Amino acid sequence: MLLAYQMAMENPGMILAEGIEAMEFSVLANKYGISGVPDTVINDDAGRVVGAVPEQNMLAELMRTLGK
Amino acid sequence: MEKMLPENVVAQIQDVFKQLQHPVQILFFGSQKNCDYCAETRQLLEEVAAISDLISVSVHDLEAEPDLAKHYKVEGKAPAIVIAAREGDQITDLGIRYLGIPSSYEFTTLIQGLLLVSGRDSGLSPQTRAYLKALTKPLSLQVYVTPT
Repeated sequence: MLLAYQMAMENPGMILAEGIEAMEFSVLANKYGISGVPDTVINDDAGRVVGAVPEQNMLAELMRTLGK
Repeated sequence: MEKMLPENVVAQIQDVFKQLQHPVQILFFGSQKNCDYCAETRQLLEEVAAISDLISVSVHDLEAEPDLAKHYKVEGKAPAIVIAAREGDQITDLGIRYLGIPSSYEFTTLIQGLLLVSGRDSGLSPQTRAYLKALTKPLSLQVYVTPT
């Protein structure tokens, strides 16, 4: 979660980082089939990172999803 | 109302808050409709903000302030928490949100988020910073968590 927040700070005009409590927002969580947490949904499921991962892994998934 | 944060937890937060550097504005968005945890979330945020002069909280309502809710992209999402930077009366949105009540482990995330915004520095690597700053299309990062 904190990593997503750190990332948003770098370009807040473009990046929105939302921590979402899955049980309270179960409609959203069910939409993306959230089972384990943390689970990061990138651009409406264009990309996905399950678990807490290091910065480099998250960056790699962003590059894969959005292009370099 | 009875306090949500026990005295020993307040003391711990006071200790951690010695690292606060710049003012932080928390915007709380509640709703009168189907919001089981709005009252608790608001109280929790107010108790945290009371611990430091550098942290302020403003209370808003999704239905009463639809334009503000739209501005912060929290329409239909209550309770919603925006953690923003503040300089005087100027609030700067840093794209940081938490939807739900930040209880148990996620309470730590809230505190860490406040410290992060207060520091005004992401702490990320130069490579990550360069990549993110160059983005020209919106990026949504939704991190799902559960209060376990």
